[in-house]
Amino acid sequence: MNGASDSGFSRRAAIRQAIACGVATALLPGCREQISHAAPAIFTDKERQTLAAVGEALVPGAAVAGIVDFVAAMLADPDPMLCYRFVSFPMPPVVFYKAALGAIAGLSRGIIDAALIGRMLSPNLKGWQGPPAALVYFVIRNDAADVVYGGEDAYARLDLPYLAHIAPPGRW
Amino acid sequence: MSEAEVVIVGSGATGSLLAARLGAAGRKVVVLEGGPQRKLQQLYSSTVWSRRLKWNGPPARMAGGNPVTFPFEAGWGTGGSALHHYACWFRLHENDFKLATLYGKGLDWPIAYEDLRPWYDAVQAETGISGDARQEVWRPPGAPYPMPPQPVFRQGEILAAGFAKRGLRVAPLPMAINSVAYGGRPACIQDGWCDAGCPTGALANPIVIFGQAMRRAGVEIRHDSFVSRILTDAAGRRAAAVEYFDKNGAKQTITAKLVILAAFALQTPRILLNSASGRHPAGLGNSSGLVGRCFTAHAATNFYGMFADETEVYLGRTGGQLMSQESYAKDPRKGYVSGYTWRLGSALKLADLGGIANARTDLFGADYAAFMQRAAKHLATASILAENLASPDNRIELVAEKDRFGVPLAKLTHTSGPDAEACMAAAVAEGKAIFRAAGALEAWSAPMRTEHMMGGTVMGGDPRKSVTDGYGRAHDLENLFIAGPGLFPAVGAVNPTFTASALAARTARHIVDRWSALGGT
Repeated sequence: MNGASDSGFSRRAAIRQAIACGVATALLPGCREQISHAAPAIFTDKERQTLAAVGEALVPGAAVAGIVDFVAAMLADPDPMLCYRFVSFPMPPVVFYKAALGAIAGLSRGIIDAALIGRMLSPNLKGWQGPPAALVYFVIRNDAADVVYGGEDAYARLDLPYLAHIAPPGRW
Repeated sequence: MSEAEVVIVGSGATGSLLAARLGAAGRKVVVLEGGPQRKLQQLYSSTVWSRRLKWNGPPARMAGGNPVTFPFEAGWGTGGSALHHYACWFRLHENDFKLATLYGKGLDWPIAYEDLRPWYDAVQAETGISGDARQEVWRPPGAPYPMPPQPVFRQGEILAAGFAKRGLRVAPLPMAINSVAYGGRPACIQDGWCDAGCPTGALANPIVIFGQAMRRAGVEIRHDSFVSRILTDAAGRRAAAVEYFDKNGAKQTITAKLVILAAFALQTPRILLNSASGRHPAGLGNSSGLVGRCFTAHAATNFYGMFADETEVYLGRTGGQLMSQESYAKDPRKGYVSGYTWRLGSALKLADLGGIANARTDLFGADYAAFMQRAAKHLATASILAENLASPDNRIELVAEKDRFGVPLAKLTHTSGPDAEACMAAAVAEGKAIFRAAGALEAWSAPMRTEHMMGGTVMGGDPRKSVTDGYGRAHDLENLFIAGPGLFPAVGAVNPTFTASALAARTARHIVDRWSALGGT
C-alpha cells in the first residue's frame, strides 16, 4: 500500500519538471500516463482521470506524484491517512470521493482548468451536484499537497532539511 | 467477565497519570483504551503517517457556528491526544478560576488557583518543563521551571522584534519538552516533528512519562477496547462495571470498585449519556442535566508573514518558541470578558492541516507552487488563543445514528460566544500591527478556528449546576470519577494539558487517601 518502490530520483525530477512547467490542468495525456493500475480498484477510469486532473490543477506535480494511487490506496485502508479523516463530513470516504469527482466531472465538461477551480470557491456555484464544492477543494488540495509536499523528496527540492527522527516505512 | 479494583477509560495524559499513581498505591488497575497500541518506534517523522495518531474511532457530527475539528484534536491509541500534543504547558491564572464571581459571566471553578498550585508544581517537577518563570511576568505564583528555556531560532527573533517595537513583552514558551537531559530523557533536537509524536522522549507524552511506572505497578492496558456503558449497582448509587467491545467486536464486561472516565471531552459525556438506566434515565451522573453541556473550545487563529530574511521556519517545536500574555488579563472595560495568549514561531512542515500548505488556502496552481517555494524559507507564524466562556448551548448529545457497536453517535454543537468574538477581533488588529512592525513584506491571518476540547462534564460546588465535585467525582455516584479537560468550567486562554494533569494528580491523591471511604475497602 505504499509508493516506496518508486525511484526517488525519477519521481523528484518528474515533479520538479511538472511544477516548473506550471501546466497543470486539463486531462493531459501526460497525466494519464502516470496513473498506475496497481492501486486498488476503487475508482473508474473516468474518476481516476478526473482526480489526476483536478489534483494537478490544484497542486502542480500531483498527477505525476501519484495522487490517484495515494487516494485509492488510502480508501482501501481501514485507517486511511487522508486529510478527509479530519473534516467530520457525514459521508463515508469512498462515497464522498466518488460524489466529489462526479460533481467535478459534471461541472467541467471535460476541461479541468484554473477557471473551474476558481468556480469551486465561488459561494454561488451553479450546476454543482455533490458535497460542498469548497470542502471538495479543501480535501483534494490537501491530498495533492500530501503527494507533492509530504515526502522527503519535496524537502530536497525546496532545499530544506527533512530532519527525520524515524523515517516512515514508505511515502504512504 | 473480568474484574479490577480500578477501571480507567482512556490512556491519555490524565488516564495514564491516574493509572500510574493508583497502581503504585497497590491498586489493581485496568485501563481500557479504544485505539490500538502505540510504540515509540512507530512515531514516524511524516505529516502523512502522523495521521494514524489522530482519531479513527466512531465519527461525531459537528454543528454550530464554530465547529470543532474533533478528529484532529483527539488521539487514537496509547497516550491518546497527548501522544501528538504540542506540549505548551501553561498554568491557568488566578482569576480564571472565579469568572462568575469577578466578572458576572461564565462559571466559577469549585477550587482556587492556590488549591491547584502544589499539583502544578509536583507535575512540573515530575514531567519537566522548560521555560523562564522570571521573564514570564504574567505567570501566577509557582515553582520555577526545572529546565532552562528552549532555543530561539530566526523566526522567533524576527517576530520578537515586532512585539518589541509595539512595546509588547515576550517570554520563552513554557514547554513539557526537555531543553536539557531531564528525567532520564534526552534534550529536544529541534526538528519540528512534535505533531508526528516524539520518539526520543524529549517531549513528555504519556508513554515516556508513565509507561514504566505503569508496567512496574502491574497496570494492564487493554487496547482496542471501546467502552460503551458504565453499569451501576441495583440502587444506582455506585458504578459496578464497565461494558466494552474488544478488538473482535465481542461485548465484554469488567467489574470495578472504582471507575474513572478519562476518555476526553467528547467520548466521556457520550459514554455517560449512553449509560442511561431506570435509575438514571437522563444518563449517568446527569441529575443536573449538564452532562454534555458547557462544552468549550478556545477561539484561535494563525497569523502569517512573509519576510525578506530566511526564517528557519522548519526548526524548533510545533507549539512555538516564544509567548506573550500582554492581553491575557480580563478587563471588562474593554467590553468583553476574555483574554488571549500569543504563541510565536511554530515549526512548520510543508504539508498537513497545520503546515505551510494550508497557510494560504486560497492559492492553487502555479501561484500555489510559487508560494510554497518562497514560504519554505521566508514564512513566519504566530497564533492567538482566546478565552471562550462556558455556555449550556454548546453541547454534546446523542443522535439516532449509531456506530458499529450500536452506540449512538455524538453530535457536538459549538459556537464561540460574543466575548470571544470581540476579543479575537482586537487580537487580529494587534497581530497586523505586530507583523508590520516585524517587517513582514506581506501579512495575513487565517479564518478564526477552534482549538482544544474542554467542558461537557464540568466540576462545581453545587450538584444542581455541575456534574462533578472539585475532585472530579460525579455528584450522583459514590465511586465514579471523571478526569481530563472535560472538567473545566472555565478554560482561560492557555493549552489545557498541564491543568488537566495537575487536576488528575490531585484526584489521584484524593482517591488513594480515601480508598476505604470510597468503598474500595
